[in-house]
Amino acid sequence: MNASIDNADHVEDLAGERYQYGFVTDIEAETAPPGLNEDIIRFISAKKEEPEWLLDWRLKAYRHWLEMEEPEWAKVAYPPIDFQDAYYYSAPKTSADGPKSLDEVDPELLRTYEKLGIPLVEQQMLAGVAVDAVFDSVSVATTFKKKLAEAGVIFCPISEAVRDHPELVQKYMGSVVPYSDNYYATLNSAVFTDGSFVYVPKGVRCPMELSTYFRINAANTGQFERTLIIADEGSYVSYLEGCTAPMRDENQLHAAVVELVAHKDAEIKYSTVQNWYPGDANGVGGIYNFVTKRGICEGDNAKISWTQVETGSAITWKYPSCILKGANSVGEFYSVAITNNYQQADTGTKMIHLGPGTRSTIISKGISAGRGQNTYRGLVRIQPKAHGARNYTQCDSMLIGQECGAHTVPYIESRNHSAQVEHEATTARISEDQLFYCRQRGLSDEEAVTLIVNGFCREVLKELPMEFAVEAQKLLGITLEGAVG
Amino acid sequence: MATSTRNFRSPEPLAPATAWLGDGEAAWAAGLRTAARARLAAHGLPTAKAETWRHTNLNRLLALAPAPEAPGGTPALDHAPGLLAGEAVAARLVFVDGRLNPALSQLDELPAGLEIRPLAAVLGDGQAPEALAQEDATRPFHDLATALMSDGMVLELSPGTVLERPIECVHIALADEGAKAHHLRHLIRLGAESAADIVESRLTLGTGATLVNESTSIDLAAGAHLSLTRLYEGGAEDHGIRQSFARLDKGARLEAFVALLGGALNREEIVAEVVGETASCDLAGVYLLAGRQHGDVITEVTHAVPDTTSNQVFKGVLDDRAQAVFQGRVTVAPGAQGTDGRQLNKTLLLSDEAEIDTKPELEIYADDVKCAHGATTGALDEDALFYLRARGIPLARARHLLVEAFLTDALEGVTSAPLREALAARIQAWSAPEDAKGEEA
Repeated sequence: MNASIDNADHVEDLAGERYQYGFVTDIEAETAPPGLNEDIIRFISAKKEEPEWLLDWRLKAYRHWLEMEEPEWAKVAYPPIDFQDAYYYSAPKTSADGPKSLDEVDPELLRTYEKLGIPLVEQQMLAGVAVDAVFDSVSVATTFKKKLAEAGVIFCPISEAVRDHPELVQKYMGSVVPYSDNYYATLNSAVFTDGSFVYVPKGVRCPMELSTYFRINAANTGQFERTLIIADEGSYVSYLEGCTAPMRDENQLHAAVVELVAHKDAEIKYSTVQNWYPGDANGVGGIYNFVTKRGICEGDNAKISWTQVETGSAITWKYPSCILKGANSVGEFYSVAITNNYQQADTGTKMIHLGPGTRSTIISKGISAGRGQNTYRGLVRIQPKAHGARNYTQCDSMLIGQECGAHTVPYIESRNHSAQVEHEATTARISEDQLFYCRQRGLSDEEAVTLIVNGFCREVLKELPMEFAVEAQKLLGITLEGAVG
Repeated sequence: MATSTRNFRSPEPLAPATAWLGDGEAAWAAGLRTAARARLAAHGLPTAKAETWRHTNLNRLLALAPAPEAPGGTPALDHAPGLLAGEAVAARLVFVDGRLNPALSQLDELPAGLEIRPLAAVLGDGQAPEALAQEDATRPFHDLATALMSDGMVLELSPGTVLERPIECVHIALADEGAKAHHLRHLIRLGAESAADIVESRLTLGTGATLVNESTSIDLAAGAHLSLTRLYEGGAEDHGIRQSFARLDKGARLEAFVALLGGALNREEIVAEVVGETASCDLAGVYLLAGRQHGDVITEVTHAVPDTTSNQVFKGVLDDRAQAVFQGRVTVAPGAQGTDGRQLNKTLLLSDEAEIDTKPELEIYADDVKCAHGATTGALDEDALFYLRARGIPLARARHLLVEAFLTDALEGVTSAPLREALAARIQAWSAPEDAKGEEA
């Protein structure tokens, strides 16, 4: 399929679209009072019927968080967040036992999913996607559980995993992102309400791509997911994360934590399409996306691959990272980040090479339009024992318009002489020649820009699973609407 | 504010009371010193929290607490081994222990249009040179230099003057006992359409501990052209910290080349503001470090107006437990369309314990620009080594050949041929293996 031409065809359909996922579903939520204190944390923990050790862990994180300072090093600007003015728990009201089947799920909720295009009912078989849909912090429906169970794969909300597989959760949670890691991760550790848990046993290739659609719904509810994926020896799993959010005027905080653990010979592929509400054309509203994502290649020959398409959010602050501990383990980071209007993105990755023969690849494409500010911030660190380690980094920025900004801040720290590290970065705008060529062939300015931008991002988009690749290409077009002309 | 917390580091070890400073100076000079000292007391010395100091350890320097010396008799020294020793120069300034040594300097018969005065004399003037009041709150060592300045070079070239011969500036530290510090401020002003070559070098005689802290303000008027070459060699207890602030007006050109060949801590910080259209700023250099030496190269180039260019090429070779830091930033201000900014940093690591921390940074606020940067780190190419050895060249010599080849293109930035040869010889001496040194001598 020629993706770019296909995409150009779509542009007309998309031209009228602003934020097509901007709607609010009116569902009665069971909400804790606003504010943050130890009682709220106890309330959350009690609601989730959590064991003692988890409550202790949350409280330890909270007490640590109180002593931390909000980080200021990122190139983003926003008014101070009042953490006491947010709600930390909001669950869709369900019967005490939860829905037994889809019929029992609030039809309003199902309609929301339909609007989002989540393949939950008829599309289930067609798409071949198991969906663990997170709706305002609590998972309400899980599909394909049986098929996964046959393969021995555990895929469930993390609160369920705490109940059913406490030994796994206790062993791995906080092992990659400790509770004291950073300001937002620590906050998450104290108040996380849900997220996904995946365990793929030894030698199992997960039979389908796992997918979770996160969705922020009730007003003022910061969403604090915590996702934990463990790939045991020789296993493989591909995980898809997609995000949309309803239109809203107040800024909403989202501070998720994602932890990946890949054992010997295992591979985890984690793909994200992030399309949260970016605020309106004047920069009012929009999601604050302060996320900590980190994976560890624990065993030899393990591989972790992050792919992200970041088009939404008012502010994105996100550095999916790989700790390459096992010998010959591999880390990859493919990223497209687009900022338009007043969006700000400070994103990148960290590749920490600990083991010998470890390899990493970083491909980052940043696109700035309007008054958007786009920063790539990355770290490649080669530790003394990483003999023969190899890194290749390429960061390209594209600027559309005179008032946007594109910044590149790569840190390279090498402590091993046999390691080879290469970094290159370029900045350019769409050339008049390219635009002229496209126009000559009958494309409008907007079609031409979408076409060129898709070409610019091709190296990253081709890493996405099929289902996501199509959506991602559409998103690039929508996000850049009004950027030229 | 003498307390030391995580975010504050007391300047006291490096800024002791110096009652003798300021003798015979104008009131404005005392005012500058007092204000700088107050800023220093408020901000403290850099901690690891400061972005450009995160990889640079000041503990050893602070423990040595090198202090400025009261002026004494003229030290006995009969020659000044600068880079251009023996060559014909337009002027030669030799500073010994932070003060101009008239006997070794050559300041009479200056070419027409060139005026050079020692800072110590300028401080007695009725009026302060404007550039001397320059502040930079993010660079405490600049304030330290202002507070404790003992001397420096105040150079002014009148419009249209093109110097045929270079100006040499040598700084010699006599380090026999104790830990000494020398703080200097230099002011360089080139009038419109003038041109000058300045060659600076610094060395230490003796094995004691030193700190030489220098701040240079460079003002290039429209069409002025300054070529600046700097060579720094130093022993195991030598600390050199330099910050340069350059301002480039319309069509001005700055070409700077820096060679760091040693020192316990050697830091070169260049801040260039390109404020005139079609001006260009080329910064290049090499850092060759071994033992436990530490070298910093920090550059900040700001393109403030349209159609300006900058190019940076820094290459380094690190052996033993040496550590180098490169932090280069190119900023393109809003509206600075047509900027062409390039940056390249390459480092060879020859040993398992050497460390390089590099951060080539771009900050761009305009769309019609061409900016690129690249950075690589790695060992010598095994295949190339094998190729040479297969042809009978011993390992040590093969390594030397490859290191030399690696550094060659950085040296191309030095336009003056004798100077390039002098630098190449120093670099060769640094990289040549013991067994090869004899045959090349």
